[in-house]
Amino acid sequence: MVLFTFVLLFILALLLESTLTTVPLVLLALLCLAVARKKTWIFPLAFFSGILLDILLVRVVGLTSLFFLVYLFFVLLYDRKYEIRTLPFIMVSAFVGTLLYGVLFSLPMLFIQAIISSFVAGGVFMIFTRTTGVRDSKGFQRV
Amino acid sequence: MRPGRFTLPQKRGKFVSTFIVFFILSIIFLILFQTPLGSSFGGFLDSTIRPFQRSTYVLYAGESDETERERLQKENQRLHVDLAKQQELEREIKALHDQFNTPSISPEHLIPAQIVGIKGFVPGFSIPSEMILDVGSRQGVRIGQVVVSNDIVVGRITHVSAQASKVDLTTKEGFSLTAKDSHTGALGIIQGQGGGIMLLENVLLSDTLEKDDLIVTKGSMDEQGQGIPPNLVLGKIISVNKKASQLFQSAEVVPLVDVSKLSTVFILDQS
Repeated sequence: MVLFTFVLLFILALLLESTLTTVPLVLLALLCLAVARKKTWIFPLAFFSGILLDILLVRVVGLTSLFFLVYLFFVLLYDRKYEIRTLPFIMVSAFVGTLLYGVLFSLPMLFIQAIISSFVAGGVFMIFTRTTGVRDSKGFQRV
Repeated sequence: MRPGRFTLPQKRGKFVSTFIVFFILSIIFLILFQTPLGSSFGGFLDSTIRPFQRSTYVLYAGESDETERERLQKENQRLHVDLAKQQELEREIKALHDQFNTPSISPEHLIPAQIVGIKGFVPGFSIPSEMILDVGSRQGVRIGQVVVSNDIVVGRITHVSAQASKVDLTTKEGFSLTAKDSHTGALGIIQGQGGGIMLLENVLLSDTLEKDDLIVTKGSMDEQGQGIPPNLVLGKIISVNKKASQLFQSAEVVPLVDVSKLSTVFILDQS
């Protein structure tokens, strides 16, 4: 049920980002999922959502996927050195990710969007971890 | 300690290999979609998922019955356009031109397009800078074509796919067009500034700009008749910045159309 809800929310993020808002909702959703779950399926999800976004936003198809994949890869690389399943890490990653995304795709009011994105990502992450029972205790997770 | 299933983090190798596979796949898609075959596949995907985008936008924008206020706004826009045409006609008669330049656009040169997305930072509050239309190269849309609503320039096509196109609005940063004052004939360049404002720049100090003057396109057509036709309304001057110590003067221009209220626009096809 929780998974179904998050799939619905992910689709909603895709539709909202392609229609109404410039905030990179899909990027934030992918970031929270990647950090909370640390599973390999995040990469195909990033790939397909990037392709869909490119088609809906009339961009060069494949560019958003490339960005999502590289971004998530670097985020998950930090797992070796730091405990990434924390709110500060999520917020900083969302801020940096939005800045890079905005530079690549010419988002308006970039700095403000990056700040808003970091808070949105933090909120989503907190809701996600509390509803799915994921704990951030030293690299172990209870599923 | 509560019993439960615990899993160790995924092995690094699996992450890296999955990443590499989809990274290469992204590059393949990036190259493939530039080919005609990829374009066709993209068109198929587009036609499959575009209705969802359109439905989302319609849900947000709503099927609006025209209120009295909106009717008056449209009437106001029409009057502004008519005023610009009248001023141009007066200038030409005054200067004894023998060619009457008709600014109105014939219907066969217009491609109707539904708006399926208008993106702003905060929907409903932020002023949008781009919009997505549901027509693309298959309907004859090309990059550089002007998008109008009631003979008022809304933006210009910047990206085209088989079934959709993206429009940069006139107020978007980076948008620029040669323009002139419809009343005084002063020439300049319209530059989008973001935040719903345009700036008419590079106007000679000797030229006259007045508040509430209409700014229209100067026009840049080639010998085949393609390009941007002249005397399409861009906006209205709200303030003039003129200093004797500077080489040029400038003016702030606001558009006459609220794009967030539009559902249909027209693409000017000069071919």
